[in-house]
Amino acid sequence: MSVPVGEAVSALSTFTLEDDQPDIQGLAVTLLNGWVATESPIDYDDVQAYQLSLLDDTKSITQLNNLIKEGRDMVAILYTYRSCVKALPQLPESMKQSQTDLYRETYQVLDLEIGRLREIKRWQNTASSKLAADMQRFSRPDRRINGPTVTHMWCMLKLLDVLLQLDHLKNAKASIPNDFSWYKRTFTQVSTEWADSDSMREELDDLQIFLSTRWIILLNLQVELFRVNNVEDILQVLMLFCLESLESDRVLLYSERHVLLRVLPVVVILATSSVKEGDQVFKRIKINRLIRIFRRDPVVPAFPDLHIAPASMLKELSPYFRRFAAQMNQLQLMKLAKEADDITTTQVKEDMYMVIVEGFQLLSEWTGRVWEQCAWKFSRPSKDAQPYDNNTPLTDYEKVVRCNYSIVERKALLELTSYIKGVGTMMEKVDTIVAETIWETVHAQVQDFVQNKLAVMLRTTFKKKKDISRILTNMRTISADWMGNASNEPAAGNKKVKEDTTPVAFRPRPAAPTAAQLHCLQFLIHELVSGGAPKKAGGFFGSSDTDIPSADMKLLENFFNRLAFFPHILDYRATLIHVSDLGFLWFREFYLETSKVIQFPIECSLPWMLADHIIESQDAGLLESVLMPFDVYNDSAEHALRVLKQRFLYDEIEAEVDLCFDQLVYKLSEHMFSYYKSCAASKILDLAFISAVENRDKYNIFPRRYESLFKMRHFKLLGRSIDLSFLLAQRMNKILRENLEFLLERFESQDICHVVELQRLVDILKATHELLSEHLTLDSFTLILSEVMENISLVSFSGRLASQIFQEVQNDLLPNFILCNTTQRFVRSIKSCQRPIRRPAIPHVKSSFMCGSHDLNTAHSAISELYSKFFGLPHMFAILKLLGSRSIPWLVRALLDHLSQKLTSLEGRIDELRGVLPKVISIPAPTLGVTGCLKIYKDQLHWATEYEHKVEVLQNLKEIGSLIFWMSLLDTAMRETETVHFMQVVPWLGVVPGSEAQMQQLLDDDGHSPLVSLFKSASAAVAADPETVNPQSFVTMSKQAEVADILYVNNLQTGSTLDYTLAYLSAILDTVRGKWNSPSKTGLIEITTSREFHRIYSGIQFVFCGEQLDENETNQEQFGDAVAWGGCTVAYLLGQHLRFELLDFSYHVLTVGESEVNPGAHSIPDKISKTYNISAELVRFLESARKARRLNSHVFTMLRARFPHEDKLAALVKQSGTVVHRIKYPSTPSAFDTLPAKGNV
Amino acid sequence: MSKTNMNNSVSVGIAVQADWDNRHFSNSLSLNVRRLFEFLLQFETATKSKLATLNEKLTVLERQLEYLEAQFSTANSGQY
Repeated sequence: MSVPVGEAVSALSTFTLEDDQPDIQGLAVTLLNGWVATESPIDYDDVQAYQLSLLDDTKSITQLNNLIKEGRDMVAILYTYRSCVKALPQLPESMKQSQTDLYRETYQVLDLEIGRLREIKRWQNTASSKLAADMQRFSRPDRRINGPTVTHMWCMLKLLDVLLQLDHLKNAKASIPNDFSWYKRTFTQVSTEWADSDSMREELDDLQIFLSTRWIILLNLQVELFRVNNVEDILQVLMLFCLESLESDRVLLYSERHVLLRVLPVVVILATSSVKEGDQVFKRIKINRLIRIFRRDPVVPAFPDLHIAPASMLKELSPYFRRFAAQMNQLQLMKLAKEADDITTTQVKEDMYMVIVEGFQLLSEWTGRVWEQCAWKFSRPSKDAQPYDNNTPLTDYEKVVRCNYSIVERKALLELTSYIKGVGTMMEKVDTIVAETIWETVHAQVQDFVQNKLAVMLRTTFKKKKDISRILTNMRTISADWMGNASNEPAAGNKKVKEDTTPVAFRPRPAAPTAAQLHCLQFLIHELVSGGAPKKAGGFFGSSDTDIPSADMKLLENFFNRLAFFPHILDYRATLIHVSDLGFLWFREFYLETSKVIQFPIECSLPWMLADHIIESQDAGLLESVLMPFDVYNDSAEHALRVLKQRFLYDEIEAEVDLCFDQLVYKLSEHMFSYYKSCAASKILDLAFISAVENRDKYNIFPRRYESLFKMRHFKLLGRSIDLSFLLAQRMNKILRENLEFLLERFESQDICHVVELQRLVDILKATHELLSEHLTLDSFTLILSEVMENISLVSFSGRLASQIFQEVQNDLLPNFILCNTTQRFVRSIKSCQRPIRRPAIPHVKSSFMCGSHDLNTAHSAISELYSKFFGLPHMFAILKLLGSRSIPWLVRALLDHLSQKLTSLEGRIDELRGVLPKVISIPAPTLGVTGCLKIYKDQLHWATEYEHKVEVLQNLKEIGSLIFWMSLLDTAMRETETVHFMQVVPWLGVVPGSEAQMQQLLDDDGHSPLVSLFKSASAAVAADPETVNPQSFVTMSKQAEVADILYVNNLQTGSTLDYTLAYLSAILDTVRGKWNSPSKTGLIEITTSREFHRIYSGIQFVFCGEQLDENETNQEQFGDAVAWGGCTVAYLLGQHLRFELLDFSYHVLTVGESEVNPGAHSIPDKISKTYNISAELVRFLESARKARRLNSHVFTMLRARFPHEDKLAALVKQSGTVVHRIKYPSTPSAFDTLPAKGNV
Repeated sequence: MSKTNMNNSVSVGIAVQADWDNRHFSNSLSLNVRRLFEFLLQFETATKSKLATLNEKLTVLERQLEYLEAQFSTANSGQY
């Protein structure tokens, strides 16, 4: 038992084959799979089986078809002919003796090419004579054979067309005569050695005449036609046929329409070769019909880049048409057929069929229009085109293609291409689904006609007319499918069928009639209406002198027109591929020759121009068609390989496609990146700002549909399958890295204040990455980040950015910025660049590497600009966010090392100062008044005021102070971040405030934190469910929760960076504590003779308050508040802050000053100056001292709060009277214990 | 004459009828072959897209592995 094939095959459709790639590509099938025979063989072998005595006709059809095929190959050879001469080498002077050898070689090479020309010449001769002979058979008054059938006429016309094309090509290609003349020259050189060369020479002369005479092939044909007998009859029939077909839209394929348009003038010329005959002809055929057609299609495409203007051809060849050739209007051909048809499987199969026919008609019309548009453009090069490159003039090809399409035209062409390809793909997909329906419909139509309509006709109209009824019966015989309806079958020998008026019902049958059947039917209908005498026809169906009633005539005509469509529709796939083939858009052989270049750049190539237009125009509606132009390349490659059969053309196309595709991926990824970048940037902008701003639209990014492009996983190009999504992801990974690299480079070329900007841009980039990751599989952002930061290694903690920040702090912020204690900010000191910093130049800014679009760039840079002139808390947050917990410890450590270096360098200076300190610095009595006090101090403090390195000491103290303040900022920022973190984490860990404001962990019953118990119970519940597939993963999850619990609990209580810094500094100070901290032997305070640090710092502060160290700016402007921070912290950590406050020189002067005037007064210096008329210097001093005192006490308060060391250190006077100066309480851990061992403390 | 014609037309009619039947059979055969072929092609595209996804996943894994390797090798360089 045979397998039920249908069932087995339909079972396949139960498989689900997922493929989520959107259909935004064309068919792209032919070249890729080679699975389609684009030309279905149509043969008429079975014609004779129908016994219509069409044997001769069929034979000549086959003959003509063979000729057409040969001729097309010849056309391909001529079209793709490229000059050999250009490639021939020139001999250098030194090798002149081997000139003969060169000639011989050249001859051999050229002989091959010229051999082909010879063959063409021979072929056209035979073709012309055969065609002429064929035509003559139908022209004789006593026509001996049946025909010509419609198919036969088509063959004649097509052969004429091939001859015309050949002729036209020969005229147009200049390289052929060139090569030939070179060949002839080498022949003369070479032939001297040969004995018998005369005949060859003669033959060459012939060939030369052939090549150099314009339109010689057609002239030949004309001679052949009129040699024996006149053939006007058949020519007129052909002319009529052309006209009718053109007027009635009976032609489905655009290419056939073009054939008609091309051939029509030739036929006209041939038919009117003499004036007399011409007049005869036009009596029968109205000249207006011709004019109308020529006016509708002024330019007919002949070759991809070579057109024929019928009018101009007529102008050249015929004396008749000068008038209307001159009147040709310039008509714009491009009329867009906007409506796209869609193929929905309707239940009514007739509708289905009609939809498909309509689809084919539309496709054919569109493709035809594109052809015509191209031809039109080729015929009208752009006149006012500007060269793209000023140095090189435009080539002709550039004029006709590159500059010739306006933006609107490009868009229209693109849309049309997308229509054609889209509808084509759709129809291609339903091929096997609709095949049966089509067969059934065609079958039904044929059967309906022959079984019902003809039966009616036979019974009624033609009952009496034997001739006609014979034809009708023949039609029934050859094509009727009775299929068991035996009752309707006319019984043999009995012509009397039952008088049954009801139409025959017949079952649909998915079996199509053969080409021969259709051919025969066509012939018979033609025979019927023309009455077997073609000459008499004034038109096939228009003639009035037949004895067929008009209603029947109408039926016949309808069916006849349908018959013309059937072969194409049945040959579904081949027709589809033919009508959606846009490969001609690429070809430019003709222009290559005239431009004398090897190949044009891709900018001149129409498919790439279209693709480029989509990308550059940013037209959101076109984006999804960006791959359509590449389907044109598929078509071109297909054409080059299978029709023109030229390997080199394919290679050229392939090379161009390689280049274009690279460009496409590059450009596409750049644009996608900037689009998503601007999306991210616009999202990050403050919403309140956006709603308040006036023209907010410019910050909105309008959506673009890149999604479908991201899904292209097997894009088909030249037979290869390309994973576009993968390629895009690859590029995106690269761009992301480049962008981050750029941001870092940019930061490296600016000062540390730009860290806020950097952080903002990195945030935007991260958001971009997130948006892109929705569609593409990208590397994780952390990976990219650590790669660019150069801290991939597990043991690398510094990283590129961390070292950069450290360097900036060390080299720029500490020396060149001054601290403002009130605003808590560092600002650059006025004196420009005390220490110049050399930075690399700012890298070139690409807008996509910032925020994507210009407007967003402006908006974001305006925000960043606010932070670019100072360093404060926002910067600290940015640093914290950028470096993360990994590099911050490293940075702190590095800065602390720097601190200890600074202290070491300070130590030397302090020691020097100690050396010059006088033995006694007496405190002036308040009775001396403020001026006196100041004077006495000035006298005693020469060691400080005259000290040559005093600026350096101040600078050092400033840097130490700045660093400490920097750490306190860092501490603030970290505290804030950690508090947020803490608040998020504690509910999960079950931490609650306990008694005495301590934290207390509230555990669940099973002794776990809420986090762990939640996961544990969840995994237990899941594991208990028997249907769980993989309970193991839940167990793992609960284990991980335990780990997380431990990690978070340990992280809850972190230390303070500032505390640590102070402890560290205090530990460093231990080395100098012995020197700088020399308490008196007696245990009492030494008021005048102390050599402790606070005395020295008092001296320095006296200097700071007193004279102006730089002539341009005040000390405050030069050093800021950081000196106080430095000095006071050191004094505090040495435990000398109380003594400092007690014994400071400036304080003393200030106190004296204050006591002299009203103690409560606000502006003491003013009062003093008014009352006592003292010097401005004193006023300034008092002012500065007052500020210093206020600042110092602020610092001391801060320090007392953060580093209370009264607990740690205290002097103790024992009962015995001995003094114990420093007592370490064991409960306080020494700073040393917690410090890492590194560093030269 | 008319007799032979008649006979001819009858025999042609019979042949045509047989031809229709044969064609019906061969058409359905060819259509099913084409459907099989179509199925294979669809299968191919589906496989291609799945393979592409797989390929991408593998590439990502590979890169992550490389990254981890780099991390590890630097940390461990003393031992190699």
